Amino acid sequence: MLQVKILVLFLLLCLLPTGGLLAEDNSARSIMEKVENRDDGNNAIITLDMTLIDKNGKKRIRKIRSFSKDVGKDEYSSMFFLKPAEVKDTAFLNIEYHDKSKNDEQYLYLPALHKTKRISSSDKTDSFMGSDLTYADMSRLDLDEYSFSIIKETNIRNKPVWVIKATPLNKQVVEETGYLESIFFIEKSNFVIVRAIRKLEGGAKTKYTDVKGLEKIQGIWTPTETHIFLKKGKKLAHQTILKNSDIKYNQEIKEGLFKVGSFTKGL
Amino acid sequence: MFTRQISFSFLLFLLLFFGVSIGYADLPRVVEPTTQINTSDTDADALDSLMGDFDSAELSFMQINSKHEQDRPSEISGNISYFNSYTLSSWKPYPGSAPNEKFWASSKIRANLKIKYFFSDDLFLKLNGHAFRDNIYEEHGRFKYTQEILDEYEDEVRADEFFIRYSATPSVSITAGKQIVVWGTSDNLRVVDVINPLDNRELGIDDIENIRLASNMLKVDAQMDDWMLSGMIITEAEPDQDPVYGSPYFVFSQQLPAFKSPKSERDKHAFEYALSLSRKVLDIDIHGYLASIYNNQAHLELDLLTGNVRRHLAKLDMLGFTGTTGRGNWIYKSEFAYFKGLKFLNSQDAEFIRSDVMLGLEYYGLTNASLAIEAAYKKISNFKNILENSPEMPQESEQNFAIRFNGDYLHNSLHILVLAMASGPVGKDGNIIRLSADYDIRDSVTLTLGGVLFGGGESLLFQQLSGNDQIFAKAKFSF
Repeated sequence: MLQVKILVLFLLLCLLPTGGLLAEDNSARSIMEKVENRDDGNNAIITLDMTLIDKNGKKRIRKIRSFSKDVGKDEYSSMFFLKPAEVKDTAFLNIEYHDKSKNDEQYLYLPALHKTKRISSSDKTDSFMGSDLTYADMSRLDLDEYSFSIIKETNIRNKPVWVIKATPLNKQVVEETGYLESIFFIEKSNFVIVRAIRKLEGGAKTKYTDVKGLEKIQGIWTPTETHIFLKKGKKLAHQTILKNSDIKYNQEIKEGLFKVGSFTKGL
Repeated sequence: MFTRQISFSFLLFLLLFFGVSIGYADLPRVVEPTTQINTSDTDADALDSLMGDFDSAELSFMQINSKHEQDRPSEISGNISYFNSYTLSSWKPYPGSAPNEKFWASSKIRANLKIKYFFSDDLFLKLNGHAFRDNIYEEHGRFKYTQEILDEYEDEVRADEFFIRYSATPSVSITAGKQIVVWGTSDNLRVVDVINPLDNRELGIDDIENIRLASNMLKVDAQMDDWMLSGMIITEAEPDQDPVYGSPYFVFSQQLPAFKSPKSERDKHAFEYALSLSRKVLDIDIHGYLASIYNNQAHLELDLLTGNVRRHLAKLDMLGFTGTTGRGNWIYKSEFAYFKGLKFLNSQDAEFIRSDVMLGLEYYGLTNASLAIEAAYKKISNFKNILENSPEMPQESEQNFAIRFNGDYLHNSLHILVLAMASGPVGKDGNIIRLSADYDIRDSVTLTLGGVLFGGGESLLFQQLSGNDQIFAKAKFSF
């Protein structure tokens, strides 16, 4: 039930597009602000293929068509599940309000039940559809909840990056996100997080994120392929491969795709 | 029975305690600085070894066809399953026969097929049907069972949904044919969910998603800004599909009288009408319902001319409301319904009024899991003492409770369900506990293990059901 949330926000966090020229202030915090503030278009349509691979090599495939749009400062996103057959036609609507005093809203259409349920989850440690992504990965970082420091500057795939450590300022953030600390690799030319190493609460597991494919689509830097893997000690525990395709920004999207009452129709 | 009630109460206690603990845990806490977070191995010196993990991870890269299949004129999906169940209690397979000891109760092969055909972006046809055959009757000897059991449980082919939908405008659609319409917010207790009849042939064995029976209707849905309006004309009044004579789920000692179809009785009035209207008001999702429908639960009626008793569906007027809202990890649900026109054999000239209320809570703060608690209260306001002995077994007031836990584990490979339902004050009328675990061996193959325990209480229904404890296993291939 809780496998669904804002895929698009993941894109916003990990793969946000170019934000212009680097200002002179290159402190860790200001770099992270540029990552967070990049333009991501007024709306987006994306098809996501997700391959889950367990430690024994067993593969499972998930396929989703997602739609997102900005309504003022609020963000609406909907997802329609295409694969596997068991969850086909399941649909999810998320409304994230900029005003933190308002509760975000989530609705899930379950075709087997022939009904749309209102659900809720402020706990962001849940796995997204069984993948190595959690909802915390798909949400924006609240920069005020972390301290940032530049560890070093290096190259990833021959491109210069900043390596920035993000440390939660309190235990509550750790509990809400599930991460003790994170290291982000930010490409200097476009402020995209191209890699991340995140230590999970408990300390035994580490999550690695690697953006293998990055393209500029309609002027927006967009990840097209991302690998995420979870290690327990030195052992690989689980992997997820994400592929984004059919990506379109700033399109006219049918209003009904963001209305609960229209979910029964499907895509 | 006492042991069963104790075990139910214990489960109830555990779940409630769990829920209360969770609720407490959800309260705002004093923020403490995280001075204990160990960051030593993520310093610059240690970073290189972590970086090496990106290269050493044996990622099994595979090509994925990510093209969106938009141009398909049709979609076909479905599944084939094999279901086996084993009865833990003794049961008389035929009235008057010696009770069987523990035995295999079902060996069922079932196929579900769903076809969607798109004539255009605005017009599609949907067919959703199933077929099954239960070989257990052949294996045990068909002569041991009543003909009604063989007719209802041995094999079946049925179109579960068969409709055509036309989107006249982006906000108006028309659907005609056999379809399922679910009203309400509850997953377990039905208060306003009155449109479709239910398949009750194997109470507790099937989850609610498999037990709704489609009705023939014409439905119009319209979205106007924040308002959602649905109107429907149901052309076929059907009763619930209940257990039959000789079934372990059948409560009565003799066969029930035949049905008198409302269609043949009064053709002019056989149509049912229903309307729902919804919108959000101050973060609360409000739904209003109005219906003139037939009661899917039949009552008995004496034909004064022939002296025969027949089963009949009473025409009901219904008014209902639901409200749902969320705060943090919690969802709050409520339902109310008012019914006028209930009928019972012992006072067949009178029409009775019943009001139903449901309150529910859902908690989503557990990692990869949710917990729902629901309680319903139903009361017949003009109840008469003479109804106490009416064969439909009406009660002046009814209480029902449900607790449902859903969890997804092992990267969504393992799905756990615990559902406990009880009737009467503190569940004294009886209860049902259903536990199941679904494990996805692959995307297309799922194994299920589970059990259903019936706790007999003061209710005749639960006393009868208490002999039906079962464990079951199912293998399902989806395509």
